[in-house]
Amino acid sequence: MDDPRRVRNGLSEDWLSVLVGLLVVLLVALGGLARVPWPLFGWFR
Amino acid sequence: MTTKKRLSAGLVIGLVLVGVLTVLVAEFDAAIGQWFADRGVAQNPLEYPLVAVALGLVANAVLRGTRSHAFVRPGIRTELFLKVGLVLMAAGLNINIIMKDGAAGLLQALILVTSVFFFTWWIATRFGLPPQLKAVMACAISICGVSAAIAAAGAVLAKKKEITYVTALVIVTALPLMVLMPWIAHAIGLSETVAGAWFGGNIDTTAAVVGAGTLYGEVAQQTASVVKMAQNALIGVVAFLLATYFVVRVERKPDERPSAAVIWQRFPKFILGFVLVSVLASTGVLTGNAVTVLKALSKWAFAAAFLCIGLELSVRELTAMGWRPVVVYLSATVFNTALAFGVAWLIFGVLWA
Repeated sequence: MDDPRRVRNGLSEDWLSVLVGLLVVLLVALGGLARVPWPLFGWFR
Repeated sequence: MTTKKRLSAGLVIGLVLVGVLTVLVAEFDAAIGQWFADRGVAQNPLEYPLVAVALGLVANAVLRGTRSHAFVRPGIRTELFLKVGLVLMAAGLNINIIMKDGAAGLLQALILVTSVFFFTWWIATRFGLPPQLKAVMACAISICGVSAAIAAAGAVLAKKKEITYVTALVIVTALPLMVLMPWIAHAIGLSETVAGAWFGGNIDTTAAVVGAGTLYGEVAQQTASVVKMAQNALIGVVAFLLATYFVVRVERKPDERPSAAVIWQRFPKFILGFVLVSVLASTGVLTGNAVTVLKALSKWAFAAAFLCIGLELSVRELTAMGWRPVVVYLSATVFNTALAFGVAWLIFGVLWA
């Protein structure tokens, strides 16, 4: 039976956020993501 | 459809939904900003966190009305979007500032976590709440809302309904604070640093802390985030102490003392990513253009997180346990608000000014 005192193994949301964050940083540093506009489309302007 | 397939489908459709709505947030934000600019108001008073939460609440009502909320729930990942946003935001923060604010934040966190935890424990005892609910609630209010509640629940073997209940309380309380605190800080003329430290020390959930900071200004957003992370860093220590207390004093099984490894297991690892990205930016590995792009991406991630706050709000759980826990939670929040104001002003306004 699961003991709630035990922390689950596997990729936690914390590590996942670090992984995704660093991957994005790598993409940006390598020039893969050169520009990110806010807003994307300017639909209502 | 099997449960696993249904969860996967819900995750994908939920994520797509959050993505589409986040694009809408950006479109609305730009349009609203333009509307105010056309009327001579340079600063858009309805900043994107408010637009995101409002749109999230509307979508939430539609999803619940059509009985599809539970299906897309796996894609509503507030914590994930928020933590990715914080890791990316670090590209715009010098590591020296993080260390300086982090040290002050840690001092503030030690004072606040200890005082607010024991105050909540004391008032919850006066109202006769069960020990597990007391522990989950005290952790949620004194440290960092939902994630602290979950960590505490694991440490004291709380029931699932107690976690759900406290989670609902956290979000219901955080939303008005996210809007009201920047407004009050502005009215009394707080500096961005002190205001950020106040938001970080008081609002329970990290997403709403970043939201309040964003509403007040860029420096406030950074200070609030760093201060809240310093507070989050204590979660492992508190979970370990709580588990030890419950095993020895409540369950009276001293032979089953938890291992100190809990401190590391519960440590919020995204802080490591945050510090690493800041080091990369501070040492010149990330150039000016990359920093600009990363800051824009962090804004997108935050918008998704704020949207999810609105999407996950549920008030139905609040009726499950009666009025006493609500009174305890609100009293502890008022105490936290007042104490955090004094401590933030003293540490960030006087000692570290």
